[in-house]
Amino acid sequence: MHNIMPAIYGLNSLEKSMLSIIPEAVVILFAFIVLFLTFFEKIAKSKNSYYLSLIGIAFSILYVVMLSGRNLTGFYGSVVFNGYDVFLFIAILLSGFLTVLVSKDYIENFDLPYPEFYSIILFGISAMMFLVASNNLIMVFISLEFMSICSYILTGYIRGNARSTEAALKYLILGTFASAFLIFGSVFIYAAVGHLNLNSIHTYLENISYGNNGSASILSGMGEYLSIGLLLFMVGLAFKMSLFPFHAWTPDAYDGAPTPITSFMATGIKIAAFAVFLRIYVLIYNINVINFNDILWVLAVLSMTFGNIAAILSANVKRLLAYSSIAQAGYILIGIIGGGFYGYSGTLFYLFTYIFMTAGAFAVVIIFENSDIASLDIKNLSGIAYKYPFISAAMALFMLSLAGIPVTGGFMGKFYVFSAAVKSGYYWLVFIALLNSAFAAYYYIKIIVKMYMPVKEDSNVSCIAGEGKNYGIVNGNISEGIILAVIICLFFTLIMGVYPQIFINFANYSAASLASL
Amino acid sequence: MDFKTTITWLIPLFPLAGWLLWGLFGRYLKGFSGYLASAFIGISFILSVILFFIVAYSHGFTDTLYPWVHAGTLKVGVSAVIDRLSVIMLVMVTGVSTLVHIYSIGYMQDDKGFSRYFSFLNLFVFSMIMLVISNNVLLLYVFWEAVGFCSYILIGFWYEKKSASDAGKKAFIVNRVGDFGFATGIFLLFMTTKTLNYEKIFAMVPTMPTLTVTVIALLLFAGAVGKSAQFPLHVWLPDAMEGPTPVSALIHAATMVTAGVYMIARFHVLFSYSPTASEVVLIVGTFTAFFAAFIALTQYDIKRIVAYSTVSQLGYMFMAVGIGSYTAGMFHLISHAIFKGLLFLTAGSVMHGLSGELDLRKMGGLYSKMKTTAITFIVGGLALSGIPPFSGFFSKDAILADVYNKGYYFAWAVGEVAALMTAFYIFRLIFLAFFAESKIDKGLHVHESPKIMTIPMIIMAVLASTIGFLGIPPLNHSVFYKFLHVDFQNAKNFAPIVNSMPWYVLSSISVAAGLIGIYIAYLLYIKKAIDPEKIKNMFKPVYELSYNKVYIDEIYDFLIVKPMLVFFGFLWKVVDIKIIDGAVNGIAGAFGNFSVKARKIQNGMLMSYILTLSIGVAAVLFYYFIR
Repeated sequence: MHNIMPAIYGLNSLEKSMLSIIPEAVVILFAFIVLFLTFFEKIAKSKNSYYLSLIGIAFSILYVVMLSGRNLTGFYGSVVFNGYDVFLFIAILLSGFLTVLVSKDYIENFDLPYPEFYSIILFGISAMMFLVASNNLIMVFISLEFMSICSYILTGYIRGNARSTEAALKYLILGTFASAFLIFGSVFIYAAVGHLNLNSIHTYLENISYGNNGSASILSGMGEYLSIGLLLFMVGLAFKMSLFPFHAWTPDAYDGAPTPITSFMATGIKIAAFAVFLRIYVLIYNINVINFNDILWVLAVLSMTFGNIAAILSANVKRLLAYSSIAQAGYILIGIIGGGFYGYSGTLFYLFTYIFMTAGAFAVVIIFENSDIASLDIKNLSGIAYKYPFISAAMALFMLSLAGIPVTGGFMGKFYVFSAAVKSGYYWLVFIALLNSAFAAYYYIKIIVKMYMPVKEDSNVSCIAGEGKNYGIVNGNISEGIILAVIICLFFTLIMGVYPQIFINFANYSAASLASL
Repeated sequence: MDFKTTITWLIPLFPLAGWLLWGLFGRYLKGFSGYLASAFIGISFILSVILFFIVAYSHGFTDTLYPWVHAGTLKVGVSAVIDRLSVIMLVMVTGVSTLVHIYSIGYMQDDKGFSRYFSFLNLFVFSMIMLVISNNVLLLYVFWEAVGFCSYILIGFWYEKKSASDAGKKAFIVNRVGDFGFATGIFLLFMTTKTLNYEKIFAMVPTMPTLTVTVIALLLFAGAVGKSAQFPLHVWLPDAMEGPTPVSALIHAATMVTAGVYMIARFHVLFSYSPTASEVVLIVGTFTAFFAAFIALTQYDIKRIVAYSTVSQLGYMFMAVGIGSYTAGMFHLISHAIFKGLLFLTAGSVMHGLSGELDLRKMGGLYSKMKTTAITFIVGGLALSGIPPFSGFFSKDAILADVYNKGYYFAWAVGEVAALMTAFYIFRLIFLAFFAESKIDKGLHVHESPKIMTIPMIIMAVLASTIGFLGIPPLNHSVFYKFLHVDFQNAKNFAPIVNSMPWYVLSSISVAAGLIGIYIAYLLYIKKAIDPEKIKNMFKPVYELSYNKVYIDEIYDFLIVKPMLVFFGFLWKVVDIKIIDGAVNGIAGAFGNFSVKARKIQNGMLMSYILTLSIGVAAVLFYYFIR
């Protein structure tokens, strides 16, 4: 007995395993610390938990940076840490950082219980990081569930608010449904190949398809199981990526959730889902069991088109952004379909810029919510630019970036993924995507036009009278935190359009370690 | 960085800094921002002139400010190509901009958005400069969009007016169509050449299959059609006159709308290797030249007449580049920028004097009241009509002579007819506004514009009457031709000269056309030898067609706008506001009780969501089995 134990739990192996999850562990540690604050009424102030969370995330980023360059695997290969994770950890942590920054005002405004709120956000972040890092089908499932549970709780966090509760409930039911597909898919895959570890599956499939027998004929026995498994697995992830037709939860959950959480879902969850999908895509889907690109092609086209049409029809900013995020998911998918090194690097670049334009837009929405406008209906934004010049200008930039208008990160991202797809010969896909972007620009610009060019008949013209006063920022409940978040987002959105090279290099580095797996 | 590259990057830097400064601190600078903005652009102009002489006496160069995107084979820098073509454009853009900025100080006085106006005007100049000097397609596209964006903002500058913000939206939407083609063309170009750099692309063009070249050229041309307001995407430009008049002078006459012509001149290699695409350019240009002049015949809004005239003149430029006479096209571009800028500025001055009146039927006899404006306007009108020695004569004639000598007789004839109509409509405007008996409201105090407005007009008028001399000696021996032709030598000569009609014969015909046009206008509106009403009734259908702008707006409304509305109305009804806008609200909002809510959810929307999801799964699996 004592002979076996060291072999399994050799000090070296355990150390290595622990090392590979340090960034996640730090976040979890801080999540617990924040949670413990609830026991002490005196120090359980909103401020303390807020700062602690920020510090926790900062520490985690620090550890990621310190560990970068290493290639670690832990827990028998079920968790990995390499260049790919460095990029995505930083993306996720930044998205979490922005979420925490924008949460404080919202919590105070809506009088929500706070230490738990931050704690669950931190748990959610760690879950996303685990999801990205997981290299094992079971691990994928567990971290996905972990992440989902956090997001269910956060979605329904406004207690007693019917919209919030209902959104959470719908999200929960649909999410469980999707998880069932995911685990069902995993079962099929396991039945077909007998492995759970992604690398082992990869090696196994590669040996079959390119191995001694030279053909995929051996696959025929288990090929069907494998294909069905992969398809179902993809459905489970497509749900989290909110691709049409697995998007149904998105508008309701985004709309009903507290806005910081909407921002968190739109950035963090989407990135984590795309990241894990990309990893599995490179390792498994890419080996020609069946041509998944056809299906992804259709999903991308449907998501873009549906998202854009629905967004045009929305009259509410938050809902418009929810639909736009479905369309954006379609654009991101184009990078994956385009494939190859540049496709993957383009996808990562797009994901990175997507964080800032989306989180920025939601931050502005939160400011609007806290200000004196009646509701988030687009018509209520009329003329708001003359009351709040700074945040309106920021919002305008985020909208331009989402629309893919040049000089912004969104443009670079689109250009990058589209050209990767062009390179791989997906002309029609890019054509449709271009058509879609041209079409989508309309509703993004509509918001800018509303903010800057109020028409007399609109309700909110009183705003114009305020021109000249209130330079900058809304009175009252706006903290520096949220302004800082807007500034961070502005900075990245602009810099990624004007000087994107550093980020491209970073994405390349990350994609390289993905492709070399 | 050495001297010339420093200068190169300083030229766009000043307007960019201006944009930020007036945008951020405009409220503290008050009226001062106008002078500062003009000074900034003035500095850019001086630097451009210096650069012009550097290039003229040495040679062109390219310079990279910094590498923008490097990803594998894709290498794009923020880099400039400074050759004769771009320095000419630079001098023109910054020069006209300076004058328009100065003019604007007077024109926009007392406007509450004074600083905002100059801030966006500077941003526009920056974008236009970058568009001109960019040496790769991606940068070109970026600033192609950027100038468009500034244009939408400035068209809708007086957003309180619904017509103004509508016009901005229209410009935006119409340009989407063209820019979609442009973007597709760029991707296609990237796909076939794997590079975005001009030089590398042009080096590859001769080896590319003609069909590919044609498709790319046509897609790029689609962008030009949108930006330069050619038929059938011309509809936004007349409406764009809702913006402040100096904006019309700068953006919608001198600079942005000529970007399409400049783009083709820049891509001359590409276009010259595709005779088909060039022919399309020629046809569209010729048709638009005629078509817009035809509409301008009967309009009463002075700015719109000038706007249609811009569309028509841009048509001439496209004719030129469509037959491979790139220098002639560029010459007309420059001379048109000056005389059309002048016409807009003077029209603005008329408007200023009449407190915003634009209707010709409410003018008359202005000559005695605003002499400077009248004289400068007439100079602009003579230049537009192609009467020597004004610049339009030389530049338009260079185009028409080339069109004839290259054997495109029909296009030439259409061009001459359009020239006649041009002379007619602009002198109809001049006679009605300045010389016919006054129909101005008696209470209106008509006054000449302040010096700050008239001086730029006078400078422009002097330029409009002298710049044409660059066009002598005629045809391929002119100063301008010799200077610029160097840049176009790598174009394929797809349309060789087949005639050698002496220039004076062609010129006489052109001048005659102009004079006849003026004479008809004189007979109708001064001499009253013929009653305009009579003619109107005689050609009623034709008159109606012209007066209603050939019903293009109505046709678009019927073919595109209405079906879109019906389609979206249908979506609205089927999908319903319930799904798109607040499903959460709809089902449960009214119920406080959770169990009721839960039951409702289970009965309601949730099932349909699960159904969608399941159908999705089924479809995916189905695909697998039927594959």
